[in-house]
Amino acid sequence: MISLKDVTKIYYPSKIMALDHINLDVAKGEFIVIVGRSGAGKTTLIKAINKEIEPTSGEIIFEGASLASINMTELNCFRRRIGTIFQDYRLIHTKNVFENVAYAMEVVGASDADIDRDVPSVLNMVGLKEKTHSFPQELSGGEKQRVAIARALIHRPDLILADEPTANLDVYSIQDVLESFLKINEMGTTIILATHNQNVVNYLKTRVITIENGAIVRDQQKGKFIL
Amino acid sequence: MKMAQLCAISKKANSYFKIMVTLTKRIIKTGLTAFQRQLGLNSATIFVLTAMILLFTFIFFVDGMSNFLFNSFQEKVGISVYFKQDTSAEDISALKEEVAQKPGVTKVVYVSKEEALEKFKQNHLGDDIILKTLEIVGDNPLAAEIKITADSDSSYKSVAEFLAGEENSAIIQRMSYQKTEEIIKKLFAITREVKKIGLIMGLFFGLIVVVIVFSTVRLSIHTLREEIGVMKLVGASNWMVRGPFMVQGILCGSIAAVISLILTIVTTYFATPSVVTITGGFSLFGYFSSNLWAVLAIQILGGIGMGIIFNALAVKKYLKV
Repeated sequence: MISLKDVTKIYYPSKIMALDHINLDVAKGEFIVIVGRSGAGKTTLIKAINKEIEPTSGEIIFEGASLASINMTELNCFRRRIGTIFQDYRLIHTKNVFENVAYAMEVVGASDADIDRDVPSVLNMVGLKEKTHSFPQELSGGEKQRVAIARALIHRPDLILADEPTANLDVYSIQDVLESFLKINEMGTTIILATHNQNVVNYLKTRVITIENGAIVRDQQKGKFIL
Repeated sequence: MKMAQLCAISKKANSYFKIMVTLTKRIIKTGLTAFQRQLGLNSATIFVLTAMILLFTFIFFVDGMSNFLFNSFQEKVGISVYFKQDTSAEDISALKEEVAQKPGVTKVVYVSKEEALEKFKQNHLGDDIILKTLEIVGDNPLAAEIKITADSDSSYKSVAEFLAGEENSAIIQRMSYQKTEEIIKKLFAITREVKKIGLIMGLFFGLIVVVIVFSTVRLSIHTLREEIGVMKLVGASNWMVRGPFMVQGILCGSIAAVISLILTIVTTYFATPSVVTITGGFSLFGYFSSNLWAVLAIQILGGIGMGIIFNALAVKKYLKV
């Protein structure tokens, strides 16, 4: 589904090499966990796949097409097929919880009836039914995280990019969220999840890619978190 | 699957038309909601848009008033042609028609001997010596006259040259151009300079106000740059992001236009008596009424147009995510 070919990212002017000649193939329906210390390059990798940043060199190919050569319209369509959970939540502060989650459905052209049916159901799933009309500034870190998760899942994307999705959740919520990911993955959705939480990796028991200093140092099928 | 097919997939559930209708409805709804929620930011935009519209309306009125004043001055320094006593009314009328056809001539007024005498008497009412002198003279000593107004000093010159021609010497006693030629030239030179300076100042202040309004709109959108970035990362099209801001621009522009229109009506209505006194006849409210469509165009189209354009331009910068 996604191939990274010799992808390098250097941040200027500090010349920090965040990604160092990454080569990675992700098959459709696969669940990949990317692990590594803080600053290892996990977030940069997620951002590069979402085309939020451009690689300095190398190529990212999504279903046969290079992301480097797509135009703005194609980029919008590409992103509509992805559900991204950002490390810093990235909620729209001028919209309430319902509207934030509904926005992901609106951009894919879902009908009002579908939105009115699906959004409450997903908010119920992430335990935010009571916060439907709250604004992001009225939520705790964990609640914001769950809104971000709901927004990423709501439109049943083909690919989920999750950057530290459990960072601000309590133990029970983490288990619920991971179970949701596993269920969605079973239905055929590809998931790339970045974390430095050992328990998450061990719970999921999926393919684990370890990154150090921007380079892949280990690729284990159904591996465990080793640092 | 190729990238070109991605868009088709996202639209599979609905027809293109249905999507466009839904999208338009959502853009309007989102714009209205955002306008309500960001009333503070939008109030600032309405305030500066109102200031901009009022400035352009003020320039429009100043232009009308200066034209009125210049025309008044021009009428006062126009050419007066006095006819010999035995000139027939037909000859005067024929010359009047001929002068009226000359390029640049804007007005020709005929004053008969009788009218001139009546006016003279009115002007000297209470001056017994002059009135008695008129009685002693018996006949009307005043000459018939035509007063000519033209749009430029060169037009005056060519009319004066025509009147000084030999074919008119039989009926014309004298004309005022020899005395007023220098005044006419100076007046038109001043008029040209004042209009030029007025235009430059109008453009200068207009530009300053446009820059201030655009900066205010840009600043209010700058505070929402992260939201715009998130919308793009979720896959929103540029129109889906830009649309609600443009709806807010329409609302801000419309409200600013209505406020400006009310202020214009009230100001012109109450300021008219003073302005008439100062300018010697220029009615602000009358000018407003007779140019209602032009004022509405400046205020409504200007307000809404600027609201849309400024918002669209300010958002554009943050769409490249």
